[in-house]
Amino acid sequence: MAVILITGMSGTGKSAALGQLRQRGYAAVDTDAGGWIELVPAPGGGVERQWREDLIDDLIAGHERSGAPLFIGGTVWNQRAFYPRFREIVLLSAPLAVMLERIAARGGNPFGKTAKERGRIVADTAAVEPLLRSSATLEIDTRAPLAEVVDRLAALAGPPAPAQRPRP
Amino acid sequence: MPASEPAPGAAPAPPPAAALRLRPLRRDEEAAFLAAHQAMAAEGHTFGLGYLPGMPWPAYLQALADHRAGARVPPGLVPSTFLVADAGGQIVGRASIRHELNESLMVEGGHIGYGVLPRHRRRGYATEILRQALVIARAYGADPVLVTCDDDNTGSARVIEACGGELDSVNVIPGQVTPVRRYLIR
Repeated sequence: MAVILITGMSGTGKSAALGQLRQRGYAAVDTDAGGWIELVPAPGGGVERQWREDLIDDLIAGHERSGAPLFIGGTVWNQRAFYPRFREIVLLSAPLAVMLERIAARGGNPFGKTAKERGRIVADTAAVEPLLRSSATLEIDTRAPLAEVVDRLAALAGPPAPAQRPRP
Repeated sequence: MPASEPAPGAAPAPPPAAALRLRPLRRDEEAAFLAAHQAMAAEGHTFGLGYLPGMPWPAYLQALADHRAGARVPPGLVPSTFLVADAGGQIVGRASIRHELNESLMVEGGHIGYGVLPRHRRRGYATEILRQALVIARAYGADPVLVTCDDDNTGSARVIEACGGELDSVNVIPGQVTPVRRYLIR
């Protein structure tokens, strides 16, 4: 059983890695998309993104039962409650300038296009990334070619389950 | 018939400790929670920390979510993560991971409080709960992790030692008969 968390700040390449893992036949869920997140009031004002825990619990439990590898991508404050259930916690990282460059260029996710959002990314990276790093079992610098990053992730999981056939 | 299969009519073997998972309470498990709360209350312990009898279930879940996020934490308490221990789909215990220590937790209580329901004891679940709770305590920055138990609670002391606990001190608490052991886990 290998349930692996892929975490990291915006623009470190989580979505790209998850997309490639899916193409290689793995179950790889990007929790930034598809209803895995709810917004809750933050203690200091504003709102905070968090995992919908019943859904995440069901997702992980299904793979714990079947033994099929699962990659979960995301960075939310309540992910720590699930840490004991991840065999690996992989931090994807890149220098801030690279992150901001990717965010400016990306099409899929609009977050980070305004100066205010970029300021938030810089502040969040300083505050959050060290916490992620302290719990990570592996850190991958995503300036490496994507295929290489994905090779390293796939090696952690072993081969995909037979039922998880590669997409044509 | 393979030896691992129970004889017809026999109670199924309890799930092994390796099958135990810490997870948040679910919105649909008020009845299971109440049963666990009553089973612990019957022997003078608390399962649902902060739970008041008759409290509406959504209000309790919201209070737990608040305390995890550090919002509306009652005076004298600290932000904490409350999780149940699930073995084979059944609640068998719980853990409370405190994100920081206050003066009283420094002496008694420590970073992690945990308990196993009476009818699920002696199966190694307590050690597994503590082992997994340590991962979360460290993710909140606890280093070393402080865990305490009563000086005469040999079962609990063994669990803490099995998880790498090193005895730091044994302290007499004003107003309490039994001294408290403080263990540090690095």
